[in-house]
Amino acid sequence: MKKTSKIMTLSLKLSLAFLAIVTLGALLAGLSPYDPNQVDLLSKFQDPSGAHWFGTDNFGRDYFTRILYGGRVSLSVGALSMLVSITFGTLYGIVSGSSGRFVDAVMMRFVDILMAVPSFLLIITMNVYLNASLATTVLTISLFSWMGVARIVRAEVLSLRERDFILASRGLGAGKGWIIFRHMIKNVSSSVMVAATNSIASAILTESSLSYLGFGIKIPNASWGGMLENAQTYILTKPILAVYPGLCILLTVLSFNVLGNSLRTILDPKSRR
Amino acid sequence: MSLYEIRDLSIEFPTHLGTVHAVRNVSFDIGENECVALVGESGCGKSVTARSLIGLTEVVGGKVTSGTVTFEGENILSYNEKQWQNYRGNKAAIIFQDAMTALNPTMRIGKQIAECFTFHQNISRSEAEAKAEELLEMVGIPNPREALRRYPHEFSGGMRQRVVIAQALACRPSLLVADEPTTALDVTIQAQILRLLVDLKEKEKNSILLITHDLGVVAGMAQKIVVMYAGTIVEMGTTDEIFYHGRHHYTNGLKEASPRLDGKGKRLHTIEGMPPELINPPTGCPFADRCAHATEECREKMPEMTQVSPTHFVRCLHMAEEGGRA
Amino acid sequence: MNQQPLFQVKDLKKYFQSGKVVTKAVDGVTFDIYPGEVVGVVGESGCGKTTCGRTVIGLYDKDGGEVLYKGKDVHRLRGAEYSAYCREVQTIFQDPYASLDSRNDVCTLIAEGLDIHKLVSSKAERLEKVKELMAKVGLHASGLHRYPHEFSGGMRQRIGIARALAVDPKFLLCDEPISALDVSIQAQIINLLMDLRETEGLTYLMISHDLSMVKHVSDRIIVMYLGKIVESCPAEELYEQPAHPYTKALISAIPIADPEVERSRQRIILTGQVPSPSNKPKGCAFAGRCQYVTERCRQEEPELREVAPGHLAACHLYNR
Repeated sequence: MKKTSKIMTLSLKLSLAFLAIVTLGALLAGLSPYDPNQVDLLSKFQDPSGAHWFGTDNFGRDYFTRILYGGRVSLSVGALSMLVSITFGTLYGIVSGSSGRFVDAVMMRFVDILMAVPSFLLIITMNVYLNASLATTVLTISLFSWMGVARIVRAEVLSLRERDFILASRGLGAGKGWIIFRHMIKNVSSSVMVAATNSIASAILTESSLSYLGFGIKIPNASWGGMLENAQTYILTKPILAVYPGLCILLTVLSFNVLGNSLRTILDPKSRR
Repeated sequence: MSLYEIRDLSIEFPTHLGTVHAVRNVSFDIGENECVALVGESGCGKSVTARSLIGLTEVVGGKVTSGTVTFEGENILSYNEKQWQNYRGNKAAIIFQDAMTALNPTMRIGKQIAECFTFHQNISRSEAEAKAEELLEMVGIPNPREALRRYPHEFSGGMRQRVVIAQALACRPSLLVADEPTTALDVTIQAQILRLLVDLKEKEKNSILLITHDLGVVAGMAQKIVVMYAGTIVEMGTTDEIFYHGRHHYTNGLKEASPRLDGKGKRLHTIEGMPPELINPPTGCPFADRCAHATEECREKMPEMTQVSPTHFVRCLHMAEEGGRA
Repeated sequence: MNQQPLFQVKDLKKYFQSGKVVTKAVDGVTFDIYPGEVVGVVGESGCGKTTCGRTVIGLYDKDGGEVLYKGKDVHRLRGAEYSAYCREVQTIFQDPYASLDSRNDVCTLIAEGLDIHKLVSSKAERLEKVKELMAKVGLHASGLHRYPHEFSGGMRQRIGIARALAVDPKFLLCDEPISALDVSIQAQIINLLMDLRETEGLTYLMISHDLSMVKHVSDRIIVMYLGKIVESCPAEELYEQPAHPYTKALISAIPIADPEVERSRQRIILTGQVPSPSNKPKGCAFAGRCQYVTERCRQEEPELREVAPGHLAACHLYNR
């Protein structure tokens, strides 16, 4: 018991540190002396050096700067689609859980239908028609990722509804709105936070896959998935080009998942008692 | 000659907030064919003490830091896992408050009871089943033959507790540890189960260590009562000594705190305050902060166990007057 | 008592349905509660006492019958009348852990009623009122901004009582208020509730499986068995002269903390099982466990009738 919790706190610390670095890098990307899209064919395929920390790519662009800007895309897509899907999912779940049986059934069947749809293909199709940009990517991703949250929230609301403290509040004369805003939201917040962290991770993965396939952020703008796709051509001659964006995606997603898992343990009321 | 001699037993639980001193220097005996009751409020260490007699201290995360438990001339606390396995069920068995969690829901009753024989005795399956049927009959389950084929959820709470008792008594252990055996049951069912335990004790000649918070249950059943508070024994003696000649202020307060069915509606006596934290237990008498008779001396040093009769021991510097009836 | 009853419960019914199984948790219950009275409801688990209490005060919808509070139908109150009713009728719950929202601090918890009904006009007044309530139930004001998990069971129950008192109720439904607490703490809560009865002029409906406690606090006791009232009478009389065989068995089953009394007592040990409330037998529900059972008991359901002044029992033994 003790050992695992030690490993967990260490991995949590490492994850938080990594996420802090990536976030800081994405925020401060503008301080880099290079333009991420500036082609400089004279200095292509350079090895890492003092001037180019991660070297340069096939167009002589500074790879470190592109990684920073790519992080900006990944993190903002992750965070924004998380915000949209969590907000909508929570509201949907609360409405469904606190409505009558019929409304609840209809709303939940709709969720089932959406979950049965092969979402990735639809996201690609929509991105093609909608002329992919940051905003459309966020919207299409969140359109297909709120259902999980809605289900979790609804289940929690249903069990909360029967709890004594909700009954006590009703007994004091509280209306529906009061109970939702004063009790329900606070009490579902911990599971929503866990779901939110995990949803950032999956949104980042989806975005990277989209960009890798060329349906995400349009070139020449940097994104980790796009850089990975570009590096594929030179995988035999210059494999290091694939390693940087690949590692970034891997570690970011991993860190968010570790964070989600730790939150689950930390926020569990049983572990606090 | 006692069946069990528990001496100076201390048990700790390491937690992330600090070490919980759950049991501190507990000593008492369990005689043959005797029912000893461990009485106290939640968190007083009564369950932890009892579980150490079954070797379940480590299982629940505790650590025995001192003391011995002598049974048949051996210190059972030094047993290894193999010795414990041979001992549990065979020499001593335990029944818990919640009979549903004590039974495997996916296994037929007959098989669960027969299991005990196959662990400890080398007998065939049909023999084991026959014995299981006998046991079910002994604990008063109607249609024992048919009951063997049924699953735990098909029984009511009281019947399940009977099944658990049958299972515990299967190998005729010398000691039955009953940890709040009737707390989850209704009063009319509780009366049935208590009667059963008393009858079986007469028949099987086993000893019972009864753990409970209910003084009413104790009054009709136990020969000896051990009152625990904050991990220590504050008073022990025969049932009559505890009920009619209680000398510790906690014991007496506890007796007066619960309304009696045959009493008149007067104001209840309360013990103000709460039991102390066991992470940093007070160095003096643990009850001093709630005691009306406490002095500086009580808070400074843990009072010694004082013998007031051959069977009656009290840990108090300012004992209540002899003869005060509750 | 010549007063108008506070609550008039008439043939109240509450059924629960899951699939095709209908559980008749409360099946035709009639009684009155007078102002200033403490009415105790006892019975074993599953007898419908909690459901009965919650349906009476309107926390659950009813499936039949009627509950009048000061002459008005509880289940039909709306708007301002409902709001006023909510202030007058409050509940103390059994589980002091589940009944407090663990994400609010003590001040928010206690002030919930004040906030809902907008009973205070300023922050300072709200704080003053909360502190006053905490003092009333024996909580120290230093706990104002702490969270429920920092308190023990007894303290949490006090928080629950303060929350109920915040809206100046006339009536408290106490649903097993002490059964989750330790013995020495139980006495504290019982004494507190009885003190409040005097100082606040409260009326109680006290629901518990603990007959000793109910007898200690109640003026009148109602004994329930499988969703029905089997006996109802003044508290002293119930112990001195129980009429219904079930009550007799119940009383004899309760252990008394006195070895001499225990040794000399004759126990009626009931045999048989409680029938399921979803599949009740014809006739008297207790017939299968009763030692005085006759053929009539198995065929015809006994009605609740007066066996002595103010003493009701539902048993054919008293109606030959």
